[in-house]
Amino acid sequence: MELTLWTYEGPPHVGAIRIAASMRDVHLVLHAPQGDTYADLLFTMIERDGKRPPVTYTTFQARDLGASTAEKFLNTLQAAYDHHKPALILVADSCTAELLQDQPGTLAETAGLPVPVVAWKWRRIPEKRTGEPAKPFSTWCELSSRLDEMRWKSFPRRE
Amino acid sequence: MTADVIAVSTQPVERFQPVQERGQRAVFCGLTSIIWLHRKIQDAFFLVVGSRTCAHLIQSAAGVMIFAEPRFGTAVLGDRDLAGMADCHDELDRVVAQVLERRPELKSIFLVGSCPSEVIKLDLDNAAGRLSREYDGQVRFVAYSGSGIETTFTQGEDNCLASLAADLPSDTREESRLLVVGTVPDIVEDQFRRLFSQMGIEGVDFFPGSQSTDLPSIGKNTRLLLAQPFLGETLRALESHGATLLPAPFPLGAEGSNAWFRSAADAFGVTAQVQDSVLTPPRLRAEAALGKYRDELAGKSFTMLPDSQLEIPLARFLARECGMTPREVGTPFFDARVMEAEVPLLPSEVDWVEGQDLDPALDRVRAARPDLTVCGLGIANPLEAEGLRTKWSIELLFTPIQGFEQAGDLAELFARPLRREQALEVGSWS
Ligand code: SF4
Repeated sequence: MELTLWTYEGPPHVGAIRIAASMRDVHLVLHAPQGDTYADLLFTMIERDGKRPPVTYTTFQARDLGASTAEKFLNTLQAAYDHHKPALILVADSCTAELLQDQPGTLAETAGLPVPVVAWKWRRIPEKRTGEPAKPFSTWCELSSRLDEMRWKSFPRRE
Repeated sequence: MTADVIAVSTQPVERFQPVQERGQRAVFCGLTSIIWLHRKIQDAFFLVVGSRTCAHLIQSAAGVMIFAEPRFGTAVLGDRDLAGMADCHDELDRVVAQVLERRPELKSIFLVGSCPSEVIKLDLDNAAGRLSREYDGQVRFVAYSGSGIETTFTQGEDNCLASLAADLPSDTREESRLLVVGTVPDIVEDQFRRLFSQMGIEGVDFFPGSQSTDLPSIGKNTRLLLAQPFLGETLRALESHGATLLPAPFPLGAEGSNAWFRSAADAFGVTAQVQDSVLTPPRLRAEAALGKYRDELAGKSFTMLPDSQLEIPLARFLARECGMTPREVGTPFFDARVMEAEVPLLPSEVDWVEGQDLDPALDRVRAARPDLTVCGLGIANPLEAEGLRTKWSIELLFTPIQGFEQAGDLAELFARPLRREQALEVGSWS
């Protein structure tokens, strides 16, 4: 446990939102409780972006813990796809969701969406180095390698 | 008054049924209440036991509003705590000692539960009891949940006050005493105290007060007036000590304030004559102040997205006293007991919503294009960029808005964004 009085350091999943926001037609479904939606204001207020970042939060509540947060995730994933129709979906856990171990990546594979789904895992940061900024980098690496793979496997080659 | 032209739903509270929505929510969690609670309770520290996200949320929501070293912080759970490799209670003791070393003058520490502390089932009630014994009455420890899985935004204050209410000293006095419940700015507290005193109601207690050591006593002769509309749990905790609620609309606007004061005055046997002589001058002043804004606001439509729990009384105020037209009014949850005196005053033909499903709600705002949308911080700028005018609901918690003297300021908060529309060429900035 570490006492933090003042912090400008965001949690790593903000990095995932940043990746999604930096690309066209990518939408992130973030498994997170309702308070985590504050991340929107980092983009819309602090950076004065004219759009909400492309993220849908599952906003699970205590009553869902007793029932099924995994089901909540799948419903949110489908609703987010239906509403935003992205070309690629990124899925990730917030720090609370990580404790639930629903594994959104594995769940999303079973959802049968017609677009590629990339599960984002951030490399666990060694405790000594928690002073580092949020981690968009690993998301970016994961995403670009998956896109590259998909380009060869499933996208028709354009000559 | 404009009340004459507005269709009022005279329905009793049992028949008031907002549409339920259960989808993506865009609200802060209860941790956010710490921002105004720590300002009000000046000898207390709020220690969140949570994650880096929790620390960052409070920082981001408090934004530029706090300059000095704040009396709140986060004990960030590390991997070892989460994996059960460290004893969280030992760790907490160490962090608490660190806080007290920096701030030896503290009289109370609130241990605030978060989603991660609740998911790993860290028992903060237990920790509060243990620490209170260890610090032997020098420092009081109180635990409550501000987590996003249990609370939205202002519910954090409700949980905080409910846990404080659990061990208020008991009042065995025979005469009735008035207790005003809910955080209001000091300036509002002073005005309220003055008006009560002019009507002969003395010794009014405010909960919370500015010192955590100065807690009101409570018993069967305590009469409660709610100053904020999000305190259902606190109300139930106070009632369990035998206190009784004085039913009243909330003290927002001239009408709400008037009814609120009169509810207390009736209960304390203040004659109609005295009530009139004390309350009429400030009510007339409030109505005059409101009159200045009514021309700007009358006929304008608004939508409120669910956020602060203030939505229902504010919609009542804007419709009845400013002549505005509510389109859709959402509230995170609807507590019938707390809203009992508000519901009969509400305009009809409004889409009332409880809960939220963000994307469809935003689509409805885009389709209706109300003149003003009251919403959370994360949503406002994107709507502005689409040419809609917005008001941040969090401002309603940071600005003194209760009582007669603030009625004009309250209307001005809603008039300002509309005026900006006239002053600026719409859509010219983004
Ligand atoms: S929603 Fe939960 S995890 Fe997120 S900031 Fe609030 S308490 Fe912390």
